[in-house]
Amino acid sequence: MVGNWSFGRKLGTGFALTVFMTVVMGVVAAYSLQDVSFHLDRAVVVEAPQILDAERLQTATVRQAAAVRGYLLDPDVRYTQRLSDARTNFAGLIARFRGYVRTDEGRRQVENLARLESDYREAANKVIALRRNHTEASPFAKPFDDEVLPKQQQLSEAIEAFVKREQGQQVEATKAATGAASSAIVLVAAIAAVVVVFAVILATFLTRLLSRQIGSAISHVQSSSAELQAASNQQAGGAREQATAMSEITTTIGELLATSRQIAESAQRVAQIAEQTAGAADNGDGTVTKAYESIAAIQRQVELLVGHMLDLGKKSQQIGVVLEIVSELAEQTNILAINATIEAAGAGEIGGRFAVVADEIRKLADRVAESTKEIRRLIDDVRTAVNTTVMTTETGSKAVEAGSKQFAEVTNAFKKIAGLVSTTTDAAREIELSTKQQASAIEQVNTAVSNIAQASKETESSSTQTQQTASELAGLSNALLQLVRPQKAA
Amino acid sequence: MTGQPAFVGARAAEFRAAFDRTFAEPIRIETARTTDLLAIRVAGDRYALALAQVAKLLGGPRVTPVPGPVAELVGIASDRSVIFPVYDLGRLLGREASEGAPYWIVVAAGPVAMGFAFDGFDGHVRVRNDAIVARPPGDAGRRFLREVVETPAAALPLIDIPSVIESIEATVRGAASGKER
Repeated sequence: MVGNWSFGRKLGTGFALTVFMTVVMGVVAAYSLQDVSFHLDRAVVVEAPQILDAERLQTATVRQAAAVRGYLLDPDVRYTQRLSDARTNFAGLIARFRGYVRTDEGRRQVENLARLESDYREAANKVIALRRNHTEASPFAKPFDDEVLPKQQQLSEAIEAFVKREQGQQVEATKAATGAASSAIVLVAAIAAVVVVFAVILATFLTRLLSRQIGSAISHVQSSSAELQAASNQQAGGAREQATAMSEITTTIGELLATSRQIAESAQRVAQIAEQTAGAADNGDGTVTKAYESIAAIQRQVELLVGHMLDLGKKSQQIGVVLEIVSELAEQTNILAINATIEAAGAGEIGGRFAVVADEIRKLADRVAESTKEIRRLIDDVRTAVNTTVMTTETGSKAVEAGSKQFAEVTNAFKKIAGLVSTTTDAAREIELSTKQQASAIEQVNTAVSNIAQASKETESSSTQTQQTASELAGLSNALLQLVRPQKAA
Repeated sequence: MTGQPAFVGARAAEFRAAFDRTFAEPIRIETARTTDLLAIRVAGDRYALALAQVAKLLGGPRVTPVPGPVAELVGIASDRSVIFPVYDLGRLLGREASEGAPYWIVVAAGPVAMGFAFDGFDGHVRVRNDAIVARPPGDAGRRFLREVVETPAAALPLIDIPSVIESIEATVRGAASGKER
């Protein structure tokens, strides 16, 4: 379970335990110091002032005795005043001691001191009264020696005993403080020893645990460093290839950019030409409309021509009929002439002259027949020409009609062409705009590719640095592994 | 087209001049050195007939079919109240019979009126006498075509009508004697 903890948690836990033990040790030390301080306070703050006040009681008693003695020697009010101050001081000190003492023995001794001081005061007052009333020494010397001095001695002895008592208590308090300090030292030393032992155990545990984990991690770091080195090699190679490819891409993009600019220029020219074509198409539309009207007029003229040609054909047929009659007449004339020639030959010499006339008639009939044949051929030619012309004209009329229809279609086509040319113009402009945008985008791409190429070069250099760093990391991991596992590294 | 009226006018003027010249020039009869012929067509071939052997030329006469002893007999026709038999000249010459009825008929000169029908009549031809030559011996069809006429256009076989008549009469006589027997 602890093995799954992180380094920070383990170190934190160890540090927390160490801190806890240190805090425990500090608390114990603080408690011991407090105990020592308590006993020292008792010895210094409580007992020492009491000793001082007890000595002040002794001093006040001595001052009372001095004042009594002075007054007995010189009954001056100055000594009574001193005596009064000393008594007031003594009463104040007794009152303070009543507040100090906590034990019954203490309170008994304080009350004994107060009683002895009161007895001494009465005896002294009596002697002082005697001195105030007598100038010689005999009346008060005796009471002084018999009453005042013994009570003064009792009071001094009681005060001295009280002082010793207080000093004894101070010594006890000092001893108690010393004992508490010794106990605290022992306890703190013991706790410190425990903390040290615990810290050593914890350090050993953490050292082994962390060494094992760090060693494993370093092994991973070594393998990762090797992999990183290999990856860096591959990355450097890939970066070089990428830089080369980016250089080629930059060149290609440059060509693409030039091509895009050419396309933009071509699209611009196409747009201009399309505009010119649109104008030409408009003009052509008008021309086609005029031509359509001309073709309609031609169609009407052709129809008239066909009518005239048909009339001409009919006339030719009529001429042919007449010509048939003429031909038949010529043939009959020829026959008559031939028969007349035959008859004239039968008439002998008399018919000779008639034979000449008949021969001339026959020649004339032959010529008429030949002329009739020529006329027939001419008429046939005319009829053939008329038929051909009629057929051609009808064909032409049909062609004109078809042409008229086609012209209508051409007109519509021209309108469609005009529309398409307009659309082409718009498309060419869109192409021009798109190509310019494309060129701009290609420039941006070129810049980006240049940046990528630069980044590839930097990647190559950083890959080299990474490779060096991986090598250094491998060396550092070896060194660290030797530090962590020297026996294994050895 | 513009040349046609001038051409026609020139031809008319030529005809008029020739016609007038016949009345202006003296009459010259040159029958001694020339021979008048009729150019005809029989079964698609051209032949010639001597005008001296023809009594009359008829165009498109009505021929009434009648039976007879001669197979080449087409029928009988009449002209100026004269009735005469009409024979198919093509069949007499050994050619195939024409599809339609022959249009032209020549009436042979002689004591007996006899007509011969043929397909076409090309006109009157006058040739010099030396243009008529005898056909070489052994030539096929020499029975009725004994001479050939050299015309400027072509050489035309000259049909000898008397020999044709003799052949018909021989056939008729043979048929009549057969009946009598």
